[in-house]
Amino acid sequence: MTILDIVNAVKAPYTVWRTLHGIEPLCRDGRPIFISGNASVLFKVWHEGRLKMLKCYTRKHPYLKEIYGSDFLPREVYVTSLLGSQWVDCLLYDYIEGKTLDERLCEASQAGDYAPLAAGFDRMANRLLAAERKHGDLNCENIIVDSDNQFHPIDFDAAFVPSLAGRPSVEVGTTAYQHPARNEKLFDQHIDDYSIAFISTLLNAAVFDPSLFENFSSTHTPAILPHEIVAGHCNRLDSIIDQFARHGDAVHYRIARMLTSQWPRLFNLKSTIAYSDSGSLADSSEDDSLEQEGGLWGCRNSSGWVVAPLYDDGFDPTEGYMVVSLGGYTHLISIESHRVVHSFEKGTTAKPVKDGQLGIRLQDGSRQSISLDALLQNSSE
Amino acid sequence: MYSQEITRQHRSAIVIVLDRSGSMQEQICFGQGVMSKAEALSIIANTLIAEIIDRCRRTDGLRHYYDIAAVGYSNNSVEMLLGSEGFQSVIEIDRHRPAERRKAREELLPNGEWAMVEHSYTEWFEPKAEGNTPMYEALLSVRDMVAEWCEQPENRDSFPPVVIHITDGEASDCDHRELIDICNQIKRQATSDGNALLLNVHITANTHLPAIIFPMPDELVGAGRYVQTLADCSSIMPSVFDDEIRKLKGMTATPPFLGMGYNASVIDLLSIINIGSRSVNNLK
Repeated sequence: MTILDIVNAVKAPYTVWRTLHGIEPLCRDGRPIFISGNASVLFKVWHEGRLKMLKCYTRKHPYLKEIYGSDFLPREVYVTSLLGSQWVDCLLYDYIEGKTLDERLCEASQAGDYAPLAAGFDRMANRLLAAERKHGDLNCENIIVDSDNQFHPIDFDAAFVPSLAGRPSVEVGTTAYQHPARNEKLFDQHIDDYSIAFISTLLNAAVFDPSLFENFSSTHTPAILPHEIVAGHCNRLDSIIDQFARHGDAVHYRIARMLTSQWPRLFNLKSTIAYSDSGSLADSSEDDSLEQEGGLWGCRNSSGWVVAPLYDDGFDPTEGYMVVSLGGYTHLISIESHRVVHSFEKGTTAKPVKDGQLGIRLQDGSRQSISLDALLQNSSE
Repeated sequence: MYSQEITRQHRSAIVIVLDRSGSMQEQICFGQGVMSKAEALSIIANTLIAEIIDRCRRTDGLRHYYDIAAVGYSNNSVEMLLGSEGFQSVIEIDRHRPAERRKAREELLPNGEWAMVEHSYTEWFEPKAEGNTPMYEALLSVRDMVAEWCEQPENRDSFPPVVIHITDGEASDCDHRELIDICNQIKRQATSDGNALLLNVHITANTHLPAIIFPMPDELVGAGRYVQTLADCSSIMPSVFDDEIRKLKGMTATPPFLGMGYNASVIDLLSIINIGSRSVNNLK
C-alpha cells in the first residue's frame, strides 16, 4: 500500500469506510490535497458540515487508542492497491486554522515579532505541563500558531498518557529538540520537559537577540542544539543565559540553565515556567517580605509569591520596590506590577529604596545615590 | 551509526538498480495478474520513487529529503532511468512527473460488493527486457555515483545511501570475483553515519522454490555458489533494521542479517524494499 493508494481511496466513490461516511476531501485539480508524516498521510476534509483533519496511518501504532480515545478509528478505510489491499487506521480531529511555528519563525525577523510567539509558547507549555497527556515530540512543525498567537500542539502520536506507564515509547521525538539521553525507556509525564525548556529558551532569547533565527528559514534547525548544550560545547547558550540575567528575566534564566542537565527530566520546569504567567503571582500587601524557596529568593506574603523565588539574592521590599540580583546583575522590581523596572550594569549593586533614593555601588567601587524617580524616568526612556 | 535523521540539512539517497536483460521477459505473478518480470519491476521501482517523493510532501510543499537515482542495465549498456546522469532531488524528479497510468480491475470489496477499482501509478521509465546483463558496468557507475554523493560536504553527516539492486540472473560482463569486488567498493563508500548499504535481490517466477530473505549466516551454510556470491555482494544490515527484519522473518531470528533476497517473489521483493527504504520513515 502506498500513499498514492490512500490518496486515491479517500476520493474514490467505491471506497468502503467503516464509520466515516460522506467524507469529502479538499481537492486541487481533482486530486485530494495531502501532506505526509512519518507514518501517516493527512487530508483536510469536510465531515458533517465541519472542516476536519483526517489522518490515515501507513504503519501500525500500538498506542493510538490510549492516546486519542474515540477520535481514533481503527480499520476505518479499506485501501485497494496493486501491491496488496488492506484496512487502514484513521484519526479524525478538528482543523486548526493557523501556521506552524516553523512557518512563523521563517516569517519573523525582528525582536518585536518574537515576543508574542515567546509568550504564546509559554502559555501553551503551562497548559501542556498541567495536562495528563504529554506530547512527546514537540518541535516547531508540531505546533500551530493561530492569528491570536495562541499555540496549539498537534500530532500526539508520540504522546504519553498515564495508562501507558511502564511501557516503552514508540518514538523518541525529533533529535534537534530532545535531550540526547532520551530513549524508549524514558516515557513518563516528563517527556516534554526538555523540548519545552529548549523552545521556550530559544523564543524568549530571540526577543533580545533576533539573530538566533536569522538562518532558520534556510536551515529549519535551531541555532543551538541539545547535544552540544549537554556536552558543554555551546558558548551561545552562555550568552543567552547572560542576556536573561542582564534583563532580569529570572524565569527564562532558570529554564535556560536547566538545558545543561545531564538528565532529560527537568523536575523544576513546571513550577518555574508557571511564573511566566504573572497572573500566578499574588498581589502586593503590607506583609510582603523577602523569602527563599529551594535556595532562591523572592517576595512573599500570606497570599503567595509576589516576586517569584527565582533570584540569587534580594532585599526586603521597600516603598513598593525590591532589589534583587540574578547572574551577577542587580535589578529593581516593582512589587505592584511584578516587573523589572530597572536593570543595573553588571557588577553594580544597589541597596533598597529609602526615602525615594537608592544607594548604588558601581563596579569600580564608587558609590552614588540616585533618586528613584530619576531612575524610573531613565528606564522608561 | 545509522542514526541520522533525514532532514533538509541531512538528506539521504536511494539508488535503484534494475536488471533489464532479456530474461526479464519471463512471466511472473503480480497482484491478481500475470505480467513479465520487467513490467512488474518497472511498476515496483516507479512506485517506490513516487512513494519516496510523496513521503517528502509537507505543509510547505515538497522537501528535498532525498536524492534518487535509477540505473538500468541491458544489452551492453547502462542507462540512467530518471533522465540524467547520477542523482536527482525528489523535487527535480517530481517536476518532471509524467501523467499517471491507470489500471482498472474488478475487485471484491469487504462490504461484499464488486467494484471496478482503479489503480494509478506514475511511470518515469517503461519496462524493458532485452539483450545481455552488463551488471558489472552498472555497479561501476553506481560506485562512482555513491562515492561522489558521499564526498559532497553537505552529505558528509547524512544517513548513507541505500542501493537496492534487483536481478534475476548472473552478470554477462564479469565473473563472481569481480562482482564481489565491485560490490565491496560500493559498500566501502561512507558518510560519518555509516557505510552505504547494498541490498541485492534475486527474483524468480517460480514461487515453489524456497526463498532466502535477509538470511542469517547459518542459513547460507551449504548454499550454492550463486547464493554465496549474492551474500558476499550484500551488506550486513545495521541493527536499526533488526526489528523490522525480525517482524518479517519471525521473532526467533537473530541478527546479523544479510541485505539480500534469493528466489524472491514479488511479495518478498516488496518486503525487502519496504525494509531497505526504512530510512524514509525517519524524515524530520
